[in-house]
Amino acid sequence: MPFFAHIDLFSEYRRIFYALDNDIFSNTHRVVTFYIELIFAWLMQIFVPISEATFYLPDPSKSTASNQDYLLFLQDPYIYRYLFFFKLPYLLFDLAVAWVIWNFMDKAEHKRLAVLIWLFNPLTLFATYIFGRFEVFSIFFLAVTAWQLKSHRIFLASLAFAISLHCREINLMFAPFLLLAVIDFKDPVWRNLMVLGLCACIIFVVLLLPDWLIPSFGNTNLFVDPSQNFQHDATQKLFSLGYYWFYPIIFGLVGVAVYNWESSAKSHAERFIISAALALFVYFAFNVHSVHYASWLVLFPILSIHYNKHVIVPFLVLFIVWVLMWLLKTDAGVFTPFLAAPLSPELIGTGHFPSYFNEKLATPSLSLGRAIEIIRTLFAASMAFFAIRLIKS
Amino acid sequence: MFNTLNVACLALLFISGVTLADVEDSGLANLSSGFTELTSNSAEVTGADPYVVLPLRSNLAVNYTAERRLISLPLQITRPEPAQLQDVVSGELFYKLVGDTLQFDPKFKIRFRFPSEKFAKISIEIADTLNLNVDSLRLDFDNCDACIVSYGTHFQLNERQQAPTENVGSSITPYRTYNGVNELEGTSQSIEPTRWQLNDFKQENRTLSVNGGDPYLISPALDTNTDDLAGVMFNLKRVDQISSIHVGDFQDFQLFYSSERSPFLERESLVFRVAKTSIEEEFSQFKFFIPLSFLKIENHDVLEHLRLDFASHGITSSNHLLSTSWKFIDASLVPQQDVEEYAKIQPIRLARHSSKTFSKRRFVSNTFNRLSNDWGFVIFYGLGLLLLSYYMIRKLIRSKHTG
Repeated sequence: MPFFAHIDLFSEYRRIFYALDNDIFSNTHRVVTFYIELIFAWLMQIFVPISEATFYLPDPSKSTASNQDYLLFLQDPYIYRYLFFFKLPYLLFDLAVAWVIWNFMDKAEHKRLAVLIWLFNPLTLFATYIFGRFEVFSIFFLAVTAWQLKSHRIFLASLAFAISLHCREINLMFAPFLLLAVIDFKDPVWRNLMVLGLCACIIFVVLLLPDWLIPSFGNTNLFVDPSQNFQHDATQKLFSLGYYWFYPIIFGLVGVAVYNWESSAKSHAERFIISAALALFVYFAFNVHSVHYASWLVLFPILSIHYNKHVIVPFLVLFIVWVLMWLLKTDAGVFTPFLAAPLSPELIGTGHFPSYFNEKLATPSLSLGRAIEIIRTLFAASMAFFAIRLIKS
Repeated sequence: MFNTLNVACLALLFISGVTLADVEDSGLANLSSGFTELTSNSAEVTGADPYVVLPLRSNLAVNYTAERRLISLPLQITRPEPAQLQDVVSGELFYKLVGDTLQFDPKFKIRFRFPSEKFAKISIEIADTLNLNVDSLRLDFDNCDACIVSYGTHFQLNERQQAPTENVGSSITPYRTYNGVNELEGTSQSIEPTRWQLNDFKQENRTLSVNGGDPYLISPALDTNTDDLAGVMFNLKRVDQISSIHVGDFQDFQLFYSSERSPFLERESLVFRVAKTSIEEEFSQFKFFIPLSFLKIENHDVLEHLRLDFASHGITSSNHLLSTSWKFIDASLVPQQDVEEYAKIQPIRLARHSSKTFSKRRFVSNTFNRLSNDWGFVIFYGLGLLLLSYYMIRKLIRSKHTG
C-alpha cells in the first residue's frame, strides 16, 4: 500500500492540498470523490507534516503532474506515510463494499464466496493499492444502490446511484437500466410513471445539487482546464460519435435495455445488476481504456452470485486475460517497475514487457501489434463468456 | 565480402600513393585493441575505444613554430553500409602526455568531426593559444563502428597559410579544444552572467524575459577539474508579475552538465525545486547551491559546461513561466572547503533524473536508505501487517478446528 503509486495519485492529492491550503471549497467535478479525499487529507495532517514544496501547484487549471513533479514528490522523506494515508480512504471503502456485499447475500456460502472474490481479486487490488485510484468510492455507492433495490427501497437506491455519479461520470451509463429496473410490471401504469418520475427527479436533483449549493471557482470549475471545453476536438468527437467504438456500444446497450424490459419477472435488483454487468461487458468488449478501469467489472458479477450465477470460471478467465492484455498493451504506469518508484526512483524507465516481447518473442508473423489484437479479441471473448453466464437462468 | 572489397580498394589507393606522402618511416603506428588489423596500414573497428597512436615526423617536433598551425593526418575512413551512417564520425586528438608516462592526458585534446565526404588526408587547425610540443599524438574515433581506417605512419605539421592544398587535404576547424583544466584551488570562481548563452530568453537591460517554451542558459566553457569541485551556486531574481494565490513561492529548475565523458543528458540531469530566498519590492530572489561532488565519484574529471533550464510545473503549464522575467545576478563554482556555508541554500527538493544503468545492489541500498528516512512509519506499518496476519491465521486455524 505505501510502496506503490501511479503519478495520478500524486496529481489527485496535489489538487486536494491546493484546496486545503487555500481554503477553497468550491464546486469541482467528481465532487463526492473530491470531498471524501479532502476530509481524509485534512485528518492525515495529524500524522504527517504536509510539505508545501512537495505539493506546490502554481496553476490549478493545469493540475496534472509532470514526471518532474512526481520525481520531486518521491524525494519527500515522508513519502510512505503519504501513500499510506492517501490510500486509507480507499481501504475503508473497500472494506465497506465487502460489508455491503456480505449483507446483500442471503446464503452463507454465497456470502463467503462473494466477499472472498471481492477482497482478493487482482483487478481491484491493483487499481486500489498498486495504481492508487479512487474507483472503489463509485463502486461502493453502486453496491449500496443494488442493496437498496433488493430491499425495495427504490428512492434510497436512486439517491445512492445519484451520489455514485459524483464519483465517476461513467455510471451515467447505468441510469437507463436503473430506471427500467424500478418498473414493476404488476403495478398500474400511473404508479410506475410516478415512481419512475420520482427516481429520475432524485437523480437529477442530486446531480445538480453541487452546482446550486457549492460556489464555483471563477468562471470554471476548480482544476478544469478552460481550453478543454466544447470546442475541444475530443468533446466534438464524443458528441458526434466520432469514436469508432461508440456505435457497437450503443447497439449493445440498446440490446441490454431490451433484455431488462423483457426480464419483467425478475426482481428490481436482479434486473439492475445483470443489466449493469452486461452494459459493462459491452463497453469493455470494444473499449478497454486504462488498466484500472477494469475494476468496474468486478462488482455486479459478484452480486449476481446471489441469483445463483456461476461466475468463478469467467472470473478466472477474466483475470488471466486482463493480466496478459496489460502486459502487452502497457505503458510506463501499468505493469512496470514505474509503479514501485516510491521504493527507488531508479526503477523509472527500467523497461517493460513489450520491449522484452519485441526483443525475444516477436516473429514476423506475430508482432507486438498483432499480439495485442489477439489478446484484445480474447478479452472481448471473455466478456461474452461472462455475459452468457449471467444471462443464463 | 564487403570487407574484402574495401580492403582491396584501400590497398590499391595506398599503392597508388594517393594517401601517403611526405612521411618518413622512422616510427610505427600503434593501434588500440578496439581495432583489428587488416593490413600493415589499415584496420577495422571491431571493439570499444578504437584509437591509433602516431609519432610526429621527427624533425617537425623540433621545428614546431607559431606558424605551423595545421596537423596533417594521412588517413582514410570507409564506413559500412550507408543505412548505418546515421552519426557523423568524430575524432579526439590527444596531444599531451601525463608527466613522463606513456599515458595521454585527457585534459589536453582537440575534438572535431570528420568530413562527411571521402577524404585521403585531413588537416586540423590548431588554436593560436595551443602549445603543441610532443613527439606523438593519439587519435580516437567515435561513432565509427565497423569502419575501416587506413593510416600513414606519421602526422606532420604544416603552416596554415602556405601549405599547398594537396598536402593539407580537407581542413577542419575543431569544435572544442581542451588546453588543460581550470583548478579551483580552494576559491570560488564566478561564472560571469554575461557570458552565458541564452535560449528562449530576450535580453533587455540585463533583464531576461522568457519568450519561448524552453528557456535555458548555457555556461561558457568551464573546463574545471572536478577534484575540488563541491557544486555550483546561482543567484537569480525574478521580476514578479504573478498575482494568484501562492504562485511563485517556488521555482523548478533542471541542471544539465557536460563533461569529458558525456554531453548534456536528460537522464543524468538534476531536477530541483527552490523556495524564494527573499522578497524585495517587485523581485523574488532565488539563491541556491547545487552539489556536484558526485561528478568526481562517477569519474567525470572535467566539468565542461552547465545548462540551467527554467522548468514549468505540470504537464502543460508553461503559461506562468512565459510571463516571467529574470535578473541573473551571479553564478559561481564552489570548492569543497566552502561546502558547509553553501549547504544551507540547497534546494528543498532535489532529484537526479535516473541513473545510467539499473543495478540490483544500488536498488537495495537505495530502498533501505529511503525506508530509513521514516523508521517510525515503517515499524508502525510492519507491526500492523504482522498483527493482521497473526489475527487472520488464528481465525483460519480456529475455523478449521470448529469445521
